[in-house]
Amino acid sequence: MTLYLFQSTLADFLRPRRLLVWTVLAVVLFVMGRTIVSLNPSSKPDAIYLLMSNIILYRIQMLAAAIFALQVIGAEVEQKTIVYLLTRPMPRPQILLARTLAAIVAVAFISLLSLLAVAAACGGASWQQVPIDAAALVAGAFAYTAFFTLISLFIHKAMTICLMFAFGWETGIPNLPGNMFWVSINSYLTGITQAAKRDATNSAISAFAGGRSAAEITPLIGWAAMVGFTLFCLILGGYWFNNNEYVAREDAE
Amino acid sequence: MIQLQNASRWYGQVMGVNDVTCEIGPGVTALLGMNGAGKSTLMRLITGQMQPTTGSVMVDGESVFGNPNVYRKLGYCPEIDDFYEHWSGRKFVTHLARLTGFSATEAKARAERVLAEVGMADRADKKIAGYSKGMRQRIKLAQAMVHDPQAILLDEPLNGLDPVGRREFINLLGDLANQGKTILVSSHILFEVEQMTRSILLLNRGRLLASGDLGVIRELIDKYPHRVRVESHEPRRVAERLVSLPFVLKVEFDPRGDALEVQTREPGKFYDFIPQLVLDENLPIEGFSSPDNNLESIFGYLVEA
Repeated sequence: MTLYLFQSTLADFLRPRRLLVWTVLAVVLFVMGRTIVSLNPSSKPDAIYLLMSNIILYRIQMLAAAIFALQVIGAEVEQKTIVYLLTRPMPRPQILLARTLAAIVAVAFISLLSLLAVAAACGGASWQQVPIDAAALVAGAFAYTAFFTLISLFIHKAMTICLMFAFGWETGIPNLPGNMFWVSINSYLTGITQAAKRDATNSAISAFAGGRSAAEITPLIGWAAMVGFTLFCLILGGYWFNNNEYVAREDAE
Repeated sequence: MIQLQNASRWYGQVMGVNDVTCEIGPGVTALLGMNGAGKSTLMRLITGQMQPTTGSVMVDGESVFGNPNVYRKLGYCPEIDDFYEHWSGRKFVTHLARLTGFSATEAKARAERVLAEVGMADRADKKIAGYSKGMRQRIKLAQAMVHDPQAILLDEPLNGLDPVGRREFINLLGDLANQGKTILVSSHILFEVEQMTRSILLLNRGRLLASGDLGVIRELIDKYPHRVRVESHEPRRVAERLVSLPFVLKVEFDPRGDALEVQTREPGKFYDFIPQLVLDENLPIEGFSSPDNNLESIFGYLVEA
């Protein structure tokens, strides 16, 4: 049942109509990358790739994570179809896990699609960076999607909170003075890719993208933190979903 | 099969269900109450979507909330009219069969069978978004029946069905009850309920006001004078004749002058006599209706009783 729910949810998340938007976005990224490369013939393609991946790719991932995480349970409650899921003989934590994993795969797929579009646009040496960025994006898909799903279990209509976190917290916190970067997911993802990017992130624009933290968070710490954080979100989410009610309240009599 | 023991449910300061104790066994039982009486809340307690604030709700001796074992025995047809609109009815029912644990082949076969039972086999490949209200009700019933549960709970299932559909639906519920299944149907229309069952639970403002055979409720109602509104363009002539009848207690004129309200302790005799008055004595009676045949009046009587 869990495997079936995962498969059917993933098929729904990645149905052609939904995928079309993200494919168009990948095409836009490709065109943008080609334009930047052609307008800056003196710049190295891999430098342009690093710039685009730091500034755009992780933001797209956060946006995708917020959208898909809210489809896991939040949209089911909103559309009142949650009743069909919750009155089937399937433990609630399994329902949450299957749907969250489907959302994670969808977010990872979209992130990797965008990554390939940027790499294809920049070409040359940028392809060498792709494997480590792909790994970090997969880690990010797990961490952001699990976290936003957890938020959607706590808060009704959580999109605003998720977007504020994605574009406010995750942009600002890594660059605040002191050790605030330790409480940003993006810092750990930057840490995962730091070995490959250390030389390329010594610029103001890369600091905006979370580059300050890269020197202190090693890839090992980055991976450990992302795995731990994802597991924490999944376990707490499972517990919460198992013990709380999810009913469309406006129907309540 | 279903037991509620002092079950109460509050939404903050608002009471949904208050201290309900009852047992529901095989056969059709109607949960009767006006809008806002707490029917849907009670259904949600029984289907484990909500937990009681106090008391307990059990199905076959097991607590319901978040208990997968119970959901193998329960089928639920909710009042809500929301679906995965871009899916076909067949896909929807098959999907929910898969989530009940059946293999793809078994789920497909079961979906075919229940779609045929609810009269949707030939229309099940259309997208749900294009379904009429009646078709949506049938699909909801199909998903509730697809795993052949021991108990089926239906929240206002006749809403949106045409007369033929209603008759088919009621017959289907009768067949399921004859198979020994426990059927709980909520409704706010007494007339509907009378066609389905004699066993009722009467809910008013969250409290279980009465339970048992519908006849008991009817007898209770008959203790009180029954009101009949008689329409006529000559109300004085009609009133003069009606007050002479021994079973008529009181006659009042409608202020608009085109009707009168009659009170009688023997509504059966009164209704039998009216056609005679029209045919034999040519009394100008253009219509009659009883305001007492609505639930509000019944609740009024029961609260007074």
